[in-house]
Amino acid sequence: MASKKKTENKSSENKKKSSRGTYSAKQIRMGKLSALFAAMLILMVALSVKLVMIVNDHGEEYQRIVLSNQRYDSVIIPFRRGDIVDCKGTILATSEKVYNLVVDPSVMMTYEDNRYLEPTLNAISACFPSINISELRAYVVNNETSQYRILLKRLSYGEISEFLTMQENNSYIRGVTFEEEYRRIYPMGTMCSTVLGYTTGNNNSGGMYGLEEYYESVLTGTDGREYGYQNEDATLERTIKPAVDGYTIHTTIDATIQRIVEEKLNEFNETYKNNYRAGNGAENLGCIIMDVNSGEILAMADFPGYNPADYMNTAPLIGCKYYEAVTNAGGYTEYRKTQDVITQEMLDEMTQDQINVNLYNLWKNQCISYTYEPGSTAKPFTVAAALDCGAITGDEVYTCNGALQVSNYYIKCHTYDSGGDGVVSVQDSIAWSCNVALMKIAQTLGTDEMCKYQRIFNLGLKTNIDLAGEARTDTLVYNAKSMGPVDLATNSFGQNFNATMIQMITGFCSLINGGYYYEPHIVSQITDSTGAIIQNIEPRVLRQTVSESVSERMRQYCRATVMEEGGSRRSGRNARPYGYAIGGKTGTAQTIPRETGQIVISFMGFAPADDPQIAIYVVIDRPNFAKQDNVKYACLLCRDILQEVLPYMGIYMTEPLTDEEIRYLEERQLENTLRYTQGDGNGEGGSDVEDPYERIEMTQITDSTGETANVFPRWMSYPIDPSTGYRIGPDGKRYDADTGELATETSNILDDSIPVNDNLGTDTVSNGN
Amino acid sequence: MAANRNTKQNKSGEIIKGNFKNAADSISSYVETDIDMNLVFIVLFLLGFGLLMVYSASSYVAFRDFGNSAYFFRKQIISDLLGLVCMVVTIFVPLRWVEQNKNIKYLILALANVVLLLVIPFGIESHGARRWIQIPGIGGSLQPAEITKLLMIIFLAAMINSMGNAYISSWKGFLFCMGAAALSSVLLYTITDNLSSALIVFMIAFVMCFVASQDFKKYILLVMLGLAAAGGIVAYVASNDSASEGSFRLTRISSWLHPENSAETSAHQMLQGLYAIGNGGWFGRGLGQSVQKVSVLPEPQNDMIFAVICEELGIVGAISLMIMFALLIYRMLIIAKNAKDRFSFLIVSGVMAHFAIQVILNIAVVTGSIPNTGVSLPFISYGGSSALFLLIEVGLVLNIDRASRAESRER
Repeated sequence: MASKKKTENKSSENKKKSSRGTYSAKQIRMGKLSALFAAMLILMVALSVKLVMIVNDHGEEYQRIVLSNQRYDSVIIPFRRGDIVDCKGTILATSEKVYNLVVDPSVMMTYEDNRYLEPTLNAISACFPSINISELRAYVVNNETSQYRILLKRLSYGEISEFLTMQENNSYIRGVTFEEEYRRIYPMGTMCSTVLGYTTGNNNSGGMYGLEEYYESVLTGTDGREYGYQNEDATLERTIKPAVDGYTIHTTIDATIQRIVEEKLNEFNETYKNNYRAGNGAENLGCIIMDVNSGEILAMADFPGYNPADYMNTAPLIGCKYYEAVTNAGGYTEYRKTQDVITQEMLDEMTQDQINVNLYNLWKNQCISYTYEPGSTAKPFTVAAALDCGAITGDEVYTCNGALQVSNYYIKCHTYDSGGDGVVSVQDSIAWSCNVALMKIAQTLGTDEMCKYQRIFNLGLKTNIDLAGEARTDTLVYNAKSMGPVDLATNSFGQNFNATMIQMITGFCSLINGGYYYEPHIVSQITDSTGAIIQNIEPRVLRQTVSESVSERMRQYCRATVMEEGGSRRSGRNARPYGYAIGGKTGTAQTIPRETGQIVISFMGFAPADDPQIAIYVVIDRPNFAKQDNVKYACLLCRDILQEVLPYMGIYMTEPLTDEEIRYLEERQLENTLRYTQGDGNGEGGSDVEDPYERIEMTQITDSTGETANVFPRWMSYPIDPSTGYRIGPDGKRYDADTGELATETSNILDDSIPVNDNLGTDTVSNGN
Repeated sequence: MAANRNTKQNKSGEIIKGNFKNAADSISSYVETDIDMNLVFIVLFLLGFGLLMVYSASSYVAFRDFGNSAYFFRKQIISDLLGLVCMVVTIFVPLRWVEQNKNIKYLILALANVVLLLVIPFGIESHGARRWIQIPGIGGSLQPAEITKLLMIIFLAAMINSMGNAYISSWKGFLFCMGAAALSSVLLYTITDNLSSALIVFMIAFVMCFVASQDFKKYILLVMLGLAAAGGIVAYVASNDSASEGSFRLTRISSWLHPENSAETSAHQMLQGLYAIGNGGWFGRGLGQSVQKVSVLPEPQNDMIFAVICEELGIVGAISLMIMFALLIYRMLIIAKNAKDRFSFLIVSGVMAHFAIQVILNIAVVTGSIPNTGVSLPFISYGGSSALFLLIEVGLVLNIDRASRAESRER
């Protein structure tokens, strides 16, 4: 401070001294003090200049910084995403409040005697052992001005309650806050996964696939906000704008039925995985159960599922076919199924992009997004169309010689090898699944009516089910112009056009419920967070597909396919649950390319046969068998599901039970009881129970030989044809290698020469949809 | 002895009479009192303005931390009122006995140091330093450093006065006074960890010695040496960044040199002060409209209150305040000139030095001209001890003024 002033002063004082002699001491000290005062003034001017320089040189810059630094002490209050519940109120997806542990070092270090620091750190270390306290201490001490650091995320209330108690009892615990957030939880684990979808982001929004995506705007609410602002007295005022929670959606899914279905699909996979080839029990396994009289989905499942809470987990991919991303001729990326089966080793080597391509496929709900040639399950549609438009009366009789020539092609029936079905009534054409009869019916119907009825049955159109990701099928069906006679013939028994499971079962429901085509739906009610009803979603009839009288005939024909009326050649006999009468239709569809023997087997049915309540559709895509065309497995899967679902739904048995059936049911009852009383169903209690498939095999042995089971059956000596997996008898007939059952359906109905719709090709999925 | 001094006084009094008699007469005749009402007015203005700014700067923080936006304001107003009472009392305390009694000055020196030592057993900690002692009974606390500054001014005035002009002009007398001041400075630094107060005491002593002595060469030399040493330390820190990591003081120098490198730590306060000045511009954002005082600027009511003044009242307001301080010190200069004896003159010089040094250092820190030392702005910054003892110092000056007026009236 006292620098310049002296130099100026000294010279002036010296001058005075020399000219006027000695000054008094008082003069000197007064002069010095005045000089110091002048120096102070100079310094003040210098500081003023500095102030002006700050404003001139940096004023705007600093103003900007100040404005950008302003923190209006406002906090977002997150909304709670709505729940998804089943028809009984069981929670399928919910949001749980979780807490992020946030430390504020500036508060902890308020007083430099650190009166808050140690008590706070001690409390943190006592309640949250996973935190490295010495590291935290270093952070707090070195970042006194920091006000926000998240230490732990997503703690439950239970995890923080101990700390809150300590905080309440000790006022020295300061600088720790808990930020609220919501976590999406799926209490049922993997159950219903592809129907539900999952949520990304903050688990509060960003629903992907299924209900979470379709009902995103309903499930999400609006964030609230706690505003802090300075009022006129410069004190902090707070106002709270509360969050609006998302709405709860009530689905028509019945968690119990869904559980039964998923259990059976898993059971099927467990039984047949790595059976003939490496990988899952089938490339796709799907099942839909629907209320026939409302279009409500009671259960919808595909295999494999995944855990929506851990949707990036790659474990469910193991055993699936590997999809690769390829750029097609049009320059678009599409995902193509390869013949490789994903293993853990492959997963380890895959890039994240490759994993994602396969996860996309996993997350899809195959019941609505997978298109395939439905096969013989389409036959009731063709027959119903012909009856409804009057092309046939139902009294016609057809002759099947095993094949029919259409144009230049020779299209076979599945009984081609045994010389055809012979004389076939309209009912038999469905019950025995005769292709030749169907082709003849379709020819009577004509291409115009065929295409018209396909649209009436919604084939080629979306069903508009309230789930995200339904596939478009408009290019996968013919129209009246493009459909040729061969296409008409193959379409009549469900080949050469693609459909989704939901299209098939929704159309099928209309065939048997009197002709009412209900829009399939999965949500019946929307309520707000207090439980008040926002919207009721009523069943919606879109159109009348066929008349009630045609529907009655279809119920009869489908019943004959399963029940005794169909005779010994009825194709769906294995699908009947003991004690019940049901109707249905089997499907054995060839995939493209035809010659590989890759089959989609399926069963579509309704129960009870006399008063249809539910419809069920089971699809097994390329089962893991040597010979995939054995529709029996789809029937058995359907039977196992219905065997448990029908009693649960309170539908009484109407048919007499044999002793054997009673014994089987009692064992199943015991098995189910043991599962709930002893926990794991794979325990000792379960091992005594006869395998249902094993038991059927024994029955068939008795049936085919007419002798007791310990006699070595004749067919077992027949050699196995490696290409088909059947045993070939001396008469050229083919027998099931395991059961000795006479083969009833032929895999090579269609060969590669028969033209197909160019757009078909189920193994390729376009990028967009 | 008294008569002796009176004659001396008369001699010099006659010489200055021509210059200042008119001014002094005009003031006293106009105001019709025994004391310099100009100084009183300026002090009251600064106190009032200080209270206003303390309220403006602290109300947000006070409400946030204590739930009462007038928390600091109320404490400050109590200190100010207490200080004014003390000031009035001081005006009428006879000072003669201090210079008459040979040994009383040593008692004062001892007291100046003992209050610092009291911190060791009775000190309470706040803001990371042990600088306060609790006053039993009334629940208040005092900062002994402020007492030491006051007592050192009185001691040095008495000491230098007893030395005679020749002796204080010699190295021996200078070193004796500076040694006494250095002892207190060391105690201030070691016991209360208060470098700024230590420097202020040392600088006051230096100024008082300079003013009293007939010599000036050694002061120029010492100032040069001091500046060179400070420059050397700054240069060392500037060239060697890692050197500053160990020491808190050196870190402050480093952050002064490179505020942008350490925006989150030690330079935070300084940078936020500069932002406040920039945000205020020429005319300010208006009283009470500071943005920076809301949680960004640490302790806006203390050392950085000048930044809030700049932000709310702009450069115009800040320079006006500086003019008020200049007037305050100018009034003291007048009183020093009229002082009836050397002892009174030295006391006024010490008080002047005290005010000037704190004002200059505080504003220099806020404008980023020197490293952050933690000096409060007299009468404006929040702080009870500071206001109390500064008002007592003003009381001393008024006391001297009253005595010299009384004497001139007698004549």
